Amino acid sequence: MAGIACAGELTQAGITVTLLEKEPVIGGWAADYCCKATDQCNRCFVCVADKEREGVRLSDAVTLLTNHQVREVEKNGSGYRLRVENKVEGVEKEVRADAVVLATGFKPFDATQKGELGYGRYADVLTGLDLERMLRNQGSARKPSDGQVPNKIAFIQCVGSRDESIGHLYCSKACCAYALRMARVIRSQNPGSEIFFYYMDIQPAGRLFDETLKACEEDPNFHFIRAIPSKIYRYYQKPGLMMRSLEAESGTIEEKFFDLIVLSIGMEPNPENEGLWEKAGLKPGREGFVDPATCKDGIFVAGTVSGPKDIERSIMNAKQAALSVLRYLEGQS
Amino acid sequence: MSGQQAVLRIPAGTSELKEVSIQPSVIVAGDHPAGLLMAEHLADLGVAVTLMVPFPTLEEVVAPYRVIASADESVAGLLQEVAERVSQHAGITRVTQADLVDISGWWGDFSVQARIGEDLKTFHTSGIAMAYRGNPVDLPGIPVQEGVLPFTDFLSGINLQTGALAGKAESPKQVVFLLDAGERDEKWASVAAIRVGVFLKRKFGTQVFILCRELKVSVDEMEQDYRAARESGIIVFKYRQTPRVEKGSGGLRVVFEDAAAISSHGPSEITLDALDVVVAQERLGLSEDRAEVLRKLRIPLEDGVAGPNNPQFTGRTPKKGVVVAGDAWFPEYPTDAAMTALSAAQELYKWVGKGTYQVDAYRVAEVDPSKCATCLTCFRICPHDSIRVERYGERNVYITQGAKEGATWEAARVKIETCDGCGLCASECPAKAIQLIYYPDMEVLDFLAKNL
Repeated sequence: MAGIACAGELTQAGITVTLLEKEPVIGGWAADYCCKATDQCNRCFVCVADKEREGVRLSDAVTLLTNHQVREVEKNGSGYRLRVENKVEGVEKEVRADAVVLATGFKPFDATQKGELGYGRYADVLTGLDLERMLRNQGSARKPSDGQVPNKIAFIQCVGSRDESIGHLYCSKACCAYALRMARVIRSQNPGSEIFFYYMDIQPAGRLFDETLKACEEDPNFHFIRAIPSKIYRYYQKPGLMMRSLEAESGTIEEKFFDLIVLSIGMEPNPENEGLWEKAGLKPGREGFVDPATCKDGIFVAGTVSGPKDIERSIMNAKQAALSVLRYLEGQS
Repeated sequence: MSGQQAVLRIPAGTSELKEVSIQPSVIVAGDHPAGLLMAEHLADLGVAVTLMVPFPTLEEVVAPYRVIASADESVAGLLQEVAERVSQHAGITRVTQADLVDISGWWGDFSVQARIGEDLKTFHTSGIAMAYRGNPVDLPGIPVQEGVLPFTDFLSGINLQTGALAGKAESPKQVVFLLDAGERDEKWASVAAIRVGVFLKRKFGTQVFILCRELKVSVDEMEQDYRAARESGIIVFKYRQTPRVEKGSGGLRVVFEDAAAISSHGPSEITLDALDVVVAQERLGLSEDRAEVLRKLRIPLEDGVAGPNNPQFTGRTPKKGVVVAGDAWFPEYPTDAAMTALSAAQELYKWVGKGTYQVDAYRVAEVDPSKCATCLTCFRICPHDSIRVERYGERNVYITQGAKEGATWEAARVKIETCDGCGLCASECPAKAIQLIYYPDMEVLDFLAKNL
């Protein structure tokens, strides 16, 4: 999505852009996200991502190459030569450019790595991404097991983030905001529902985030619990899922039934970045994402490739990258 | 431009794209280092940049951030030589000891008044960027007393060689960073506290306590730095209610309830006593003069931040051609502020960089002067400040401002370059004199018939 935003900015400055996309459709993960408006806009900016995508799709200055995987990036004189493979036809071709913007994004954390949370084993344990898709495509949250409307929902934060046991000693920055906003959507659609929000620290995301947080705190059916749940399991023949956690408030081990459990998964570096971009001189930073400080000679990064970002900051980063590209091209000519 | 008999016919039912010529020039004003970065980038792109700083030298813009730069390499990389580079840049006109006091006119043709020392001077420019630093407004919930410092005063007052604070000879033995008492969506202070805390601990052996409501780690590499802080002996507490800061035995005393303690184990009140310095996160806001400039431009201010919150329009304000950055946009940690500022610079470059600008002529409002009752409703509500009342000759003939001859009546006029096509004026006009120009249905049908 950051690549698209960057392409949109560049075309407005009169630059011809080739957009290389390995998937059949453009838009990245943001194309799967849902609008998180309740009775008012909650500033999730998914519509902005949609709008950027439409703008690029309809633009004459952008050559769209979907299903094309970059195989090699090579410096060629003052510009770059990219070897790309058409994944459908299996043929390779060459793309030339004066500058390259790397916007290969992130990989969502694979929640099955956290076996104790039962993702993949229980149908009613979803990831944040699953819930985004469900709300975007179906319009409301349902239990995948029986299609019923869930009444008691738990959100577990920091699944795959801030977790040294899996080597992710970083915060994914977007999860608190997206989980709170989706929880508000569920609350507004089903006033009888109850949300239990298990977190470590609430991470603010951008301006006016306080409004969202305050609205959740004032909601009597919204419970903030500072705890990391340790286990999710089925309890004999009873409906729902049992979740176990040590809660600081009471100091006891609590076990509660839930209809639906949402794991707010974080972001991982995209494994495809390794190897491919090292040739171009890009190196990973301390968190495993591409270090933007190593960008040079006409290679730039935009979006989550250089570290987790929400939609707002991805677009800002894309605009910053566009400015850097223009500055670089100006210096070349 | 004024005073001449220039007559311009407004084409009826305009639907083609119009090109307007714009001088590629920008004024960057302010005391935030983000302004230096914006000036440098825009000047490299061939825009004529006038940089206005309220200090005698550019170095003073960066100086308060030196302690953060010593504690954080990425900030150092950003700010290390920027003042030097900008002060030698051939494409930048530097105006020192200057503060922007008034802005009038339109995008593409702004007239800017600046106070330089004692004098007032007028500049002309196409676009304006305001990168201001925030001033401490208050310390929410913490009584003002000796030894309690606002965070920004602490950062700008500390001596990097000795660790001593302004007016003191030695570095303090302990520092308590008291965070989150006010705004909860700002994270600059949490990040700075951890990184500067590690720096103080390692360099001067200062005992550092950090008291916060939530530990904010949503900045690049922050979780690792938090780990490093704990390993170097910095103690972090999370409190429930805003801690009490009072006079204790031999210094200040801070009392609070530990939120991480298990409450069934009994009361969890913690007291830190005999403290030298308590650094509290303040609420930041713009100074009254600067807020007044923004208010005059009809840029709304909320908690000291300006403009709409939409990444499509980063730093963009309702006044087209004016962008804000630094703490005036939102108080952010320097690396984050740089990203925001540069994306705002990109917005500005998109408008003024090419020398021409294409106006979506079919998405602008148009006033029918014959119906206009000069009630000034549109003038008052226009969020883009695009409507003025002008004198008209005959119908659909507009005479530029100042021309007296041939003027028969007054009516509102929309400046098409700055109009956003939002339609507010059209919906509010009591005389129904304003219309948004769209493609009529027939044109759409024609287009479909030709193309399908």
